[in-house]
Amino acid sequence: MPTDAPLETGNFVSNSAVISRIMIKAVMEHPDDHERFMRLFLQHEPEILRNVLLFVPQPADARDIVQEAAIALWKHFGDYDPARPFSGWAIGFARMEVKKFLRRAHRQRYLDEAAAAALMEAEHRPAGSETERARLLTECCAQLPAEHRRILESYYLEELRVSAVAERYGRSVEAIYKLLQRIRSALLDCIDRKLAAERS
Amino acid sequence: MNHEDFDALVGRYLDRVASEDEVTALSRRLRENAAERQRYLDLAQMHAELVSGFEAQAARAAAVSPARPAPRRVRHRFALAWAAAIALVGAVAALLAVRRAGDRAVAGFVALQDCRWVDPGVSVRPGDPIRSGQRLELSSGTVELRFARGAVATLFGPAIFEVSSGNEGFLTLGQIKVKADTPESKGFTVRTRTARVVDVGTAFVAAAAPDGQSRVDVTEGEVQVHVAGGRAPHRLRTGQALAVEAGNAQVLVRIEPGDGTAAFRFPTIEPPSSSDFADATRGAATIRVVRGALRTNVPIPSGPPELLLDGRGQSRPDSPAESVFFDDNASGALLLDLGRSLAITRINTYSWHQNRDSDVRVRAVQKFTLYGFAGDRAPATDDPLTEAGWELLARVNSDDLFRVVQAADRPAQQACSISGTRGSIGRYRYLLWEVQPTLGHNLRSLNNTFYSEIDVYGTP
Repeated sequence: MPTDAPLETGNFVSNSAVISRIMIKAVMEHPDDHERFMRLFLQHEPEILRNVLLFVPQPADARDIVQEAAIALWKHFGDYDPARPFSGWAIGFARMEVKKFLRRAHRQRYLDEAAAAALMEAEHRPAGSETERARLLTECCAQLPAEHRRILESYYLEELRVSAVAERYGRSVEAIYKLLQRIRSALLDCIDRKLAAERS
Repeated sequence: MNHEDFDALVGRYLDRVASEDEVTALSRRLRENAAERQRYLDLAQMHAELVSGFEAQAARAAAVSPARPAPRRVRHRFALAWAAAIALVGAVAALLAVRRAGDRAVAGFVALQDCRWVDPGVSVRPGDPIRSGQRLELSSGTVELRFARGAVATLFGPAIFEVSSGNEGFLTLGQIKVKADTPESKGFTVRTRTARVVDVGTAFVAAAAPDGQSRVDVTEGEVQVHVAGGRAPHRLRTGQALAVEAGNAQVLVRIEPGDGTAAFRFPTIEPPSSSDFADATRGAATIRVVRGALRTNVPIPSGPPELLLDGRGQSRPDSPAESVFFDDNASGALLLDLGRSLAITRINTYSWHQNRDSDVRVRAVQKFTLYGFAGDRAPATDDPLTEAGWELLARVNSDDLFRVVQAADRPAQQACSISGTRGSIGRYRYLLWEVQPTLGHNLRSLNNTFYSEIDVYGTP
């Protein structure tokens, strides 16, 4: 009889349990600051996550890093200058956590720390605002063929692995990952095109 | 390496299929080449926006019901660490497993409230052990159990439940609420005659009806539902629910909360469509009321039944003119003629209602029984329908599936998707909805659902 099996190690689980305990303790000690912190953190969390995903594309690992960054941010919240944008301050911490993660995870098929550092130094500002890009992404996704949309949802919404997506749609793993690559390129072009059209 | 090869390499890295050598090569190129760094960041940005965009979509859907927390994946990301690695193991195998089980204690009674057992000779107290294979037959009352691996379950009588192991049980009848929020209890499983529910998040409710219908709804976190004969497990997240009908053509009912906008976006169910077989633009489908009457009273009359075939949902939350609904407190029936028989794979219904100044969403509830008929002349539509030749396809009550206790639990915008666990539901030309009024929160409450669209997918 086949059995369910966890894909990740026990360390992953216990690490998260420790983080949760630390967060709970911190909140109990500073309830007022916590509300302000949580409001800011939740508001900017998607942006922080997107930034981490640039270097660590595996969503579960990226979310783990964001949660580690939340601990670090909370510990240093007393140093935060409200005159500065919270997102920039928070992304700085998140990037430190990314580097720590890559040092630990180098053998797990992630970029080396020097490559990540070079990427972090590169000037990268996606065209358009966050809201504009989110709107255009929705529009561009809607223009995809129905099956491509479903494959995208299986991969990004259901978070199935490429192999599971391939099995579901009766295609090879190679075909699915090539398709995902093509879809992302097409979406990128679509957003750029629409942005250019709206500004012309 | 040319531009295309570099894109492919980045794609393999983003999709976590790159080999160690490929990752090393990518790292080197990124250290050395500024142009390739920019290209990498563009592609990775797209990947990040997709992850973030779909996450926001799931969160918006759950946020429609304020009584439940949004699906914060950070909170229950353990769920994502588990894979659908199992083929279906049916009820027979599960029962055999119970019979083979030994007599070691794998769970214990925590609390008992107003319990009456089927066998009057049964006497249990809090703290008593439960052995593997032990069958609990409860006439009434509630029992709280703690499993060896940490899951806590509440069994609501009448119920028949067998404790299979320290992390698994078989529900023959009744309802069980499970909280499995310790790392050791991940994977807690409830089997029924038609489904296997695996907890990969934190809490869910499973129910088994005497006729074999199984239901599950997720109150927090995520579960996987494996259905007999189904290929892949169905993943349900917070606020989502699913029912599995027993019978030859197993039918699966999935209900999801929408994003509360005119776009009618749902976690996995597609928005209302005009490219299905039940659409006026395709020319073949017609719909009419065959029992009861749509509400005609001013100032809130129903729109005509043809609205259900126009490919659109309502444009706002309280829009009678864009909705189809029966008279107050009255049931009715709608007959859809597809014009020809089709191998139907999916039937979707959509509803939306939110009063402007209160949490009353009683007219969003989807409550109906769906029948099908394949021949060229529809049978009589008076009771009893199955004797007239109609085939019962599904029973839907979205309040049951969402376990609505108070009005705010109920999503204002709902989609119900009925599909076959093995692909096709069957071949039908006629579909008949017996629509029931929903429960009003008081006597003055209007209580027939604001339906806006029916979509039928399949192949000729």
